[in-house]
Amino acid sequence: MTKDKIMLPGDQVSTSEELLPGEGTFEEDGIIRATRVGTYYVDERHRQAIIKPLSSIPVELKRGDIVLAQVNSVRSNMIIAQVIHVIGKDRPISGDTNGTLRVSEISNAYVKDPTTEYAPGDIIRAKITQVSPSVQLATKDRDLGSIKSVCTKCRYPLYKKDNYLKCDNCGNKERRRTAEDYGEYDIKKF
Amino acid sequence: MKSEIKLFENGKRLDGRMPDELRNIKIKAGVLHRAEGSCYLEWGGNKVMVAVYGPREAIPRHTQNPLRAIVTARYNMAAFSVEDRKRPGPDRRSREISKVISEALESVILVEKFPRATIDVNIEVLDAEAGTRCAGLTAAAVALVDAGIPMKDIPVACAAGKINDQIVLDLGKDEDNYGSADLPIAISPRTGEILLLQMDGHLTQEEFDKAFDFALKGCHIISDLQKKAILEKYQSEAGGI
Repeated sequence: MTKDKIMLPGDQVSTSEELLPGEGTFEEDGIIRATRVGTYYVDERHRQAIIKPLSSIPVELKRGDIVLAQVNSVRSNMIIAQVIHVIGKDRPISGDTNGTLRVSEISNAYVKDPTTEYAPGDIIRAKITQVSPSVQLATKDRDLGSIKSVCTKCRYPLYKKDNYLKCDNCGNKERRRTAEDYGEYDIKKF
Repeated sequence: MKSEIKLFENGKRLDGRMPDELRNIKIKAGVLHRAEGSCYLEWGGNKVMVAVYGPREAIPRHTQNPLRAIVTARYNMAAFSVEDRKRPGPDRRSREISKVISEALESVILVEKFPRATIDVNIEVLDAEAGTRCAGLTAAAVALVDAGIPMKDIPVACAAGKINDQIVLDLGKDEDNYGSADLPIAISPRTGEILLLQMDGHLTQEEFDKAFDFALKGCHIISDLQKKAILEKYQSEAGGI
């Protein structure tokens, strides 16, 4: 089978005696078939048949993905955030987007109480550490953390000052676990 | 409906086709850049545009299935698609067609991969000339492939019918209106599995078998056109690898 040939959904790519069904394939009656348009590859290390997609494909969360999430609620030992975007992908996420971020995963330093680090409404950049059975996040790197926060008193945007965040509207000062590029990242594209 | 109108002349049909001849079909994949997958199809006088969105979280939540995705096809006819203005919005007919198309697509999509999700398929009929459900489903299949939705096969639909006591393939507008039976089918061309089969009018067993064979043959011809349309879009991209 030539590797340059474009496979269409339903086309036979291999058999189950030869290979395992990998990404973009499914197995039926001992035959491995494509599920999407793409070119056929063999992952020799895992002995898997793979269809490299040519079309855009649905976005699924994977371990290690860097994502943007919006903080929904802050509990005593964790925060709950909705994953809204996977960096580098231009399609919405399919599947479970409810992520949790444990206190111990917020920062490298010791965090006693998550309320000092995040507040509801914050847009954070986080890394996915687990997808199944539940989506787990971590913000331990320097580029991870809040990228956009609003004042808890008046909901105006907060601006970065030295090591705290300040509200230009009411003068309120707040502390957050911020990413290096706080306030610089363009989140308007969503 | 028994017709007084002659639908045949010298063995040819009103539009000059032979009994087993399809109308002209033109398929183009990926025409809308906002949609995740799309397709534009012209089938004789039918003009159909399909946009696919998802998989995404199904709303309202009670429609979610914790084990698999649901497929929500929405068949809609534009007000200007028929001679007399069609009152916009869903009606009995379009809801039925939405339902049967959803079910047909559900059986080829690998729905188990996306629990709690919905895959939305919007089928807009811009211009209608008989056989829009077949055109809609055929276009929806191409749009789903364009959206990268995992599927076991590319489904395809085609109709056959009876006019003036003769079985013909792919009824045109007058043939549909004055003919005596219409048999739209959708199949999974690889396995031959039937995904949709409807009939209006009456056919005897022999007539049915013949009409079914006709429609089946039509499906396989259209299937090749679908594949060609998909390859046309992706061939150039594959060359760059």
